[in-house]
Amino acid sequence: MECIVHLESVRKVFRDTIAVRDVCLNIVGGARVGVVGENGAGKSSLFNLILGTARPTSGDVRVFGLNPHLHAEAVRERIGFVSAHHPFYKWMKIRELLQFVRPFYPRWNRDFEKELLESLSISLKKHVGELSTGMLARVALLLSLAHEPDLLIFDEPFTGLDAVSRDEIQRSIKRYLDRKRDRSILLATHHPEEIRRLVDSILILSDGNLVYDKPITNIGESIKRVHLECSPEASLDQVAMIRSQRTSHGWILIVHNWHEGMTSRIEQVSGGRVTDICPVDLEDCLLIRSEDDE
Amino acid sequence: MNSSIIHLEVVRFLRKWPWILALILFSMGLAQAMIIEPQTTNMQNYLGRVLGEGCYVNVMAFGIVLAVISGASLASERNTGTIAFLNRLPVSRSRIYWSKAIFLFLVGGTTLIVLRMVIGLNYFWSDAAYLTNNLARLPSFLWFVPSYLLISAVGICGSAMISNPASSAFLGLLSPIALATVLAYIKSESSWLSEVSLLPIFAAAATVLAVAFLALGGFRFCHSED
Repeated sequence: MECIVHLESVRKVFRDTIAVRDVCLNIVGGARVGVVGENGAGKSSLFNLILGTARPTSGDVRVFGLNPHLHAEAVRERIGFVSAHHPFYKWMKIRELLQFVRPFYPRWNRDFEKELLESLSISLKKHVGELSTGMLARVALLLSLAHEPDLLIFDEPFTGLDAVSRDEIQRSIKRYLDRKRDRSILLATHHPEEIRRLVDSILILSDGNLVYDKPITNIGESIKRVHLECSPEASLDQVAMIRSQRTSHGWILIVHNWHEGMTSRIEQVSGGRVTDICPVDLEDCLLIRSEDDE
Repeated sequence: MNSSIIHLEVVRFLRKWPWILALILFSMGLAQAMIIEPQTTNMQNYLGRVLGEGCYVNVMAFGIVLAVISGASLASERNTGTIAFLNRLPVSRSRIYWSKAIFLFLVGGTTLIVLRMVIGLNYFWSDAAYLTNNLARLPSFLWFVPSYLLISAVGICGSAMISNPASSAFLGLLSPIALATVLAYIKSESSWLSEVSLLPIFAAAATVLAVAFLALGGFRFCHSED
């Protein structure tokens, strides 16, 4: 399989914030990858590096074998991107928007465009400014798929959508991926059902670190929820964890790269006692994040 | 440059047609008014010269407004967030920037040509001899080209950053130029200053600044990140 995205020790620093920390990553053709992480974990920065709209502070980014910042046109011609926001020109009609975007993509498929217009129930006569959030997302999806991209990058595309729009868009994405088996997707979302429906492996980003890069089914083997009884002042800096949550008796830790000997290591570092260890599934992982975010 | 983006700019510009029409009417009216005074004063006194020069100021004012309308293009793209949409299309930032800049200069150039024709025809209709006698003044008009470029460049430069500082810079640079122009003609009443105009000096400075601003604006835009 061709490696379409290759990141080698990539670091991205914004002033005093490290958005991406020495990430190494390979995405091959046909990969269906979910990108998970709390807000600010580095998901969008990672996507911007792949799109070439940001440059790495250090390290090397290659997309389709090219530096995406230097070869923005060649790289983006082969990428379909959708984010949570759709900043199109509000004064344009959908027909005008399509007329504007088409020339940028040599591989634009007019037949597929018509098919998408029909399946997504998009009217060409409407102005962008009068579209609902759901309809805007459908238009964004149309623009991202009609040139039959090799790589789809979706950065929380379902945010703010009702169940019907969400289902419609997911079905369209799935249909495209089923039809084009060699095409890849990177999907950032906070919803486990979307991950299960559209992807088969996930990347977990935590504070800019890539802490998990495996199939969804293996999460429980690598990531554990650890209940630790210890003093609230105990230092946990040396424990490789995704999140920690303080309780009345100590801490609940979500620990990655789990291996034998980790229990004694945590007890040694914290001076406490591990009372329970259980595997984390995708829902647990996302749920804990949500609670913390709240 | 990218033809799609230039086309986009043309469409955006034409959507502002009521403003453009108002400017043309205002400018033509002002140009018409200018004809009378230079003839009666024959450009021999302060008032006549200021009013005569008013044609050029008029051209410049018209150009400035057009430049602001079109030059604010990138700034408005930032304000409305559509720059993110453009930046994710398969086109480099430098192409976006230069497509917009080229459109701006096309608008500016066309404006100057059209206005010169309108004013020239007005002069011709009112007094053909006046036009002939004043052909020698044509080169002085050319000084307005760099001034216009300055205004355009500030528009682009500012729009490559954010709109408010651009407006401030624009006014900050325009005011001394306008003031110096008026001062030059007030002083021209005295004999030894009569041939001195600060306008060329400012126009020369404007040329340098235009290039500097243009380069700075382009650099900042092309190297900024989302």
